[in-house]
Amino acid sequence: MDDRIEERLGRVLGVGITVSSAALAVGLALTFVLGPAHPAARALLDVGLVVLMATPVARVAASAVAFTWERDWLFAGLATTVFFVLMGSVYVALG
Amino acid sequence: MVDPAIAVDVTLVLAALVAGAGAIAGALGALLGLGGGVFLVPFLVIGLHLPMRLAVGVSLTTVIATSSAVSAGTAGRQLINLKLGLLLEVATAAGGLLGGVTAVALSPRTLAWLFSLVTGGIAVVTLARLHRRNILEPSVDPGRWGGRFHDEDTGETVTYRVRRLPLALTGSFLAGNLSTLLGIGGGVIKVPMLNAWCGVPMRVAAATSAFMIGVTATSGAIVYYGQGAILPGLAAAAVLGVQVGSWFGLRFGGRSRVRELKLLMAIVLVVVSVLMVWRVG
Repeated sequence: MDDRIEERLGRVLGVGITVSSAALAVGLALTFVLGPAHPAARALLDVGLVVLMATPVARVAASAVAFTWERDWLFAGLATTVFFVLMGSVYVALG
Repeated sequence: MVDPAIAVDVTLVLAALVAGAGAIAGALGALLGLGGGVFLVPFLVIGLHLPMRLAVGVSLTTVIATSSAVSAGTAGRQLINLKLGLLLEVATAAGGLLGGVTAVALSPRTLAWLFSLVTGGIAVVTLARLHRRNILEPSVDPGRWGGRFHDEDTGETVTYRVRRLPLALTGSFLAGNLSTLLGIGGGVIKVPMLNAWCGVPMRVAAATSAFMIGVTATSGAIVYYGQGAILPGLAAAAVLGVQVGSWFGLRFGGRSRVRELKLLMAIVLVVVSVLMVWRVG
């Protein structure tokens, strides 16, 4: 794959982990200051966790799109398969 | 909502201890491509007396954080072999899905002994191959699965080819199997296997594993989160610890010698091997 695409995928991860860490840090601090039941603390912690879990999913989806764009069917297929495995987990979690 | 049956109060001391454990996991992830679940779960269960499900939930979030932090930190250095990673991830996912089948065939005790023997054996092989490097002439064609990268340690551009792909697939399948059964990421099997037998340089094996364990752990973490088995306060502490640990690991990992990384890997394997037998007796 193109090195620039690879680098952009790395940036997706960088942004995801930064946003999630910031939300988790503030959420954890609020837990100690305002108490674990405070809505702001709980909301921030949940946002942080959801972004954390969504980041690798976004990365796999982005690589599936990138390989498809390059008509690299084998790897587009592999990335799509991995994406559907992750979607299977979401289905189990919601069901 | 967190399942009230397993919820615990997150005190400042507990958060600090979990963050410390996360920092060690993050450093190991940055250096060796391991998620650290194989140490983290026993530490949380035996050391901090947390319920098993809660420990696995924290461990899974730690692995995701390590994976994303390390992958973002090594981006643009061609260390992650995304193609090989995706192929092996499919095998790992299949192994994970079929974990239940293996669980019926083998008792947890037999499984732990097998795991211990495998990790012990890989430790011996890693030590025996300490000075051999998977590096080819720059003019060699890396083939469909291989690649090239710039080695910061020696300052050279390194070419490698992937050998024994069926073995890599089988090992990844088994790693996925064990991941479901023992609550670990499977990096502890994949990294030494890719390095010792499949022609993949240590740094590439570590970075590619760091990518894969994140995907494996995410698939587990989503299910755990849905079941209310991830305690947000504890997971937050672990993730913040990972950030600190992986930062240090990335800072020193690029310059450390490959021989030192392999030695560290062998030590980790021996500890894991002993820990497994000690846990089940």
